[in-house]
Order: sequence, then C-alpha cells, then structure tokens
Amino acid sequence: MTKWQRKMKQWLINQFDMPADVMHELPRITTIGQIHAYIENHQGLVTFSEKEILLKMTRGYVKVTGENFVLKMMLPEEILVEGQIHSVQFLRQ
Amino acid sequence: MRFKQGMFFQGTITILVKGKRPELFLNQLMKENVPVWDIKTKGEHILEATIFFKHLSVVRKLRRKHHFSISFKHKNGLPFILGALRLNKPFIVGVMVSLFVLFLVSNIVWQVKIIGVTPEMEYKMKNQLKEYGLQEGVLKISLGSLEKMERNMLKDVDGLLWVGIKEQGTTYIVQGVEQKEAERRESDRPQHLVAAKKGTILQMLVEAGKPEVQVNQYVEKGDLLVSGLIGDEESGKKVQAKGKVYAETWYRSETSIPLKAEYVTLTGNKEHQYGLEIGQMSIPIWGFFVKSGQNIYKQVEKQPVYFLKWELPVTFVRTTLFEKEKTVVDRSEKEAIVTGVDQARNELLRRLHHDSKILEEKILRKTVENGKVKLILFFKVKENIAKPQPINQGE
Repeated sequence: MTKWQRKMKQWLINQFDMPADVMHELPRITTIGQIHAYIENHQGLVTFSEKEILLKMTRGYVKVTGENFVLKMMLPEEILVEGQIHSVQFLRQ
Repeated sequence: MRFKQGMFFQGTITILVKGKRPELFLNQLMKENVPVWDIKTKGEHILEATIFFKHLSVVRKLRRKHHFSISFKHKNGLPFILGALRLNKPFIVGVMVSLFVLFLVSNIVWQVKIIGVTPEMEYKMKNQLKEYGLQEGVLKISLGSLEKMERNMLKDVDGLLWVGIKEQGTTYIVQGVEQKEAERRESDRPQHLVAAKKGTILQMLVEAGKPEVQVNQYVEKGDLLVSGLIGDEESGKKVQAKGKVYAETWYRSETSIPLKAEYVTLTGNKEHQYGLEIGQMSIPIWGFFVKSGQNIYKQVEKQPVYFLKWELPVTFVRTTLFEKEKTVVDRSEKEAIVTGVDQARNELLRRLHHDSKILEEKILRKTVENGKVKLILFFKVKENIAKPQPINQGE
C-alpha cells in the first residue's frame, strides 16, 4: 500500500465515519467477558495450545493467553476462542 | 455460528492431526475455505478438530502434501448412518419384506365362518360367498360392501330368511337364519264361509258345507256364504265349510299423471376408480382419466386398512361412477290417460289375489289441471270373497 493510498483511506474514514477495521484490514477483536474471544480479519493461526494462541495479522501478531483454550470455530478470517482469557496482546515483529 | 446448521444431515468427522506444528494444517484448511471447529490440543503435537464430511476429500488432498498424519476419530451424522445401513442391505430388505408381508397378512381374509345353518345351506352359502369374492385368502380391500353382499345373498339363496356378515379381524362370520317351512296345520275346526266384501256372486265352488247364497245374488260384507252346519238343528253336524265363492266386486281409484315428467336412469356404463385416503388427503391409484361431468352418479365405498389388529389412518376408497341419463317425457293427454289407467290397474292387481280378474274398467272423471291429468277410475273385478269364520264350539 502506498502512502497516498493510506492517506486517502484515512480521509475516507474521517469523512464518512467508516469503521476503521473495514478500511485498514485491522483485526477486530470482541471478547465476551473472559470466556469468548471473537477475532476477525486474521491472516492465519501460528500457534495454538491450551494456554496461548498466536494469530497472524496484516502487520504483526495478536497473542491471546489464558487457560483451557478450545477453538470453537475456525473460518477464513474468523476465529472463536473459548476458555479463560487472561490477556490480549499486540505484537509487532 | 450459522454454518453449523444441518450438521447432523451433512455428517461430521472428528480428526486427529499429528505432526510438528499441527496449526499449519488448520491454516491450510482455512485457505481452502473449509470450516473447522471444536479444535483442542491433545498433547504436544496433536490437535483434535471437527470438519464436515463433505470436506473429507480436501483433507485427504492436503494430507498428501504435508507430513502430518491424520486419523479419524469418530464420525457422526446421517450420511454415516445411511452408509452403515447400505452395508446392511440384506437386513433392510428383510425388514421391509417382512413388514410388507405382515401388512398383507393383516389384510387377508383368513377364515369365513358360516354359523347357524344346516350343512346343505352352509354349502350353498359358501359357494355364493365365493361368487361375491368372499373366501379364504382374498384381500380384504377387494371385497365390496358387506351390506350389499347380505342383500344379494338373500336374493340369490333360496330358503334364507336373514343373513348377517360380521368382520372380526381377519375372520368373517356369516350368520344365517333359514326359513323353516312352517307346517300349516290343516285345522279341522268347524267354520263358515262369509263374505269378505260386498259384491254380486258370479260362481260358487263349494267343497264342503251348505251354500246359503245363489249366483247373481248381491251380498254385503260379513254375509254368510257357505254354512258349516248341515242337517237339522237337532241332528245337525258341524263341518268345516270349504270352497271358493267368486263375486263381482267394485273398486274406485284415483290417479294423477303429470304431462311432463323427468326420469333419471343409469345407462349401465360404469367406471371404477381406486385410491387411498390419508386423513383429508386422497391419493388416486387407479382410474385417473375418467370423464366426469353432471351425468355421473358416484358411489363411494371406503375400506379401512389394517396392520395386525390396528386400523391404519389410511382408507382404501373405491369409487364407482355410473353414467346417468335424463329422460324427459312429454305426454299428450291421451297418453297420460293410458299411463294412468295402466298404473291404476297394476296397482290394483298387486293388491288382489292372483286368481282375481279385472272384468271391466271405466274412467269416471277426468280433469286436467296444473299440468296433471287427474283420473277417477272404476274397476269391476271377479275375485274370491269367501273368508273362513270359525263356528264357536260353545254355541
């Protein structure tokens, strides 16, 4: 993405009140209390264990830590994690 | 999670992915647009996941490309159940055949019992029933209505007074009552013969007794015709007066005949339709292309279908369509009179004893009104008017 494109998008978002995740291909993470985490716009599953999930994003990674993780659903660009969620971290690597 | 709808019908498979970094395999599946759910870790390099049965080929294809070992843990859903059944085809066929046989057997007439009659009559009835189609081994639904059978039976078998056919499961019980020729006791009690109605004597045939009237004499109802007392009052003997006294009697009758009349008759052409009725729904089986219209008289017979002793909510319906014909009769006055006289005569003859004779007929009055011809007719009849009257022993 060129600089010009990014600027154009930012302008669109500001002008038309568009949701940022749609325009920027950013992850949208919804958590329901501690038990569910609903992650959209991810680029792939990197690691999955009972205590940690690492998801690839457009830029960087998202790391969800907790206990007793089960992937209730895995669709292209959508993941539903169930378990005890402790933290959601954004990593730039 | 809308994609999970219809999971049972589509069938699901739980797989175990073993190998280094099994997440990669899931990523591959994701790229192929394969939904995966219920992913759990089952050890360091083992993942358990569930997919749809229809995506199995994708999994197999990916397995060949990678170093993962994939095993199937369990299968769930309709396709697998059906698959298992397909392997058991003989079993399924066996069940179906036995159900069908059971169904057939419940709708077969196993026994026809004829009770209440002598062996000869039983034999006669049995043959007659066979003709109507009621015998051991036939399908119940092929039988017509029992009432009709009863009626025909009375008509076709001589000496039968009453017939009742009862259905009891697969047994038909036919109960008959035979006519017993009641022995007419020739009573030898003394009797007179008296006139049953007024008339003029035409002919006297006396077998026993003393005639008290003569030919051409007019008698009133109740008059003594032939006396049962012979001889003097003292040496008198009481006998049974016997004989026939023919007299001329008179009848008046009124009839009215419409000048215009409409009759509906059946032409004798008929067609059959067969069908099943389930609740309100009816399914035709045979006889689809039957012309319908106004000139049709429909007769519907319904027959319940049984499975063992239970009546199924299905009825076998047999419809017979008779072609109707409307006849319009337009009579002239003359024709109407002829018909009226015929009618009145037939009616009178029906009432009279068979050795009676109509001597003369006359139209007394004729009026035409409201499209009807009204006739008052007079008949002169020759008939036996002798009626026995017992002589009281006490007298």
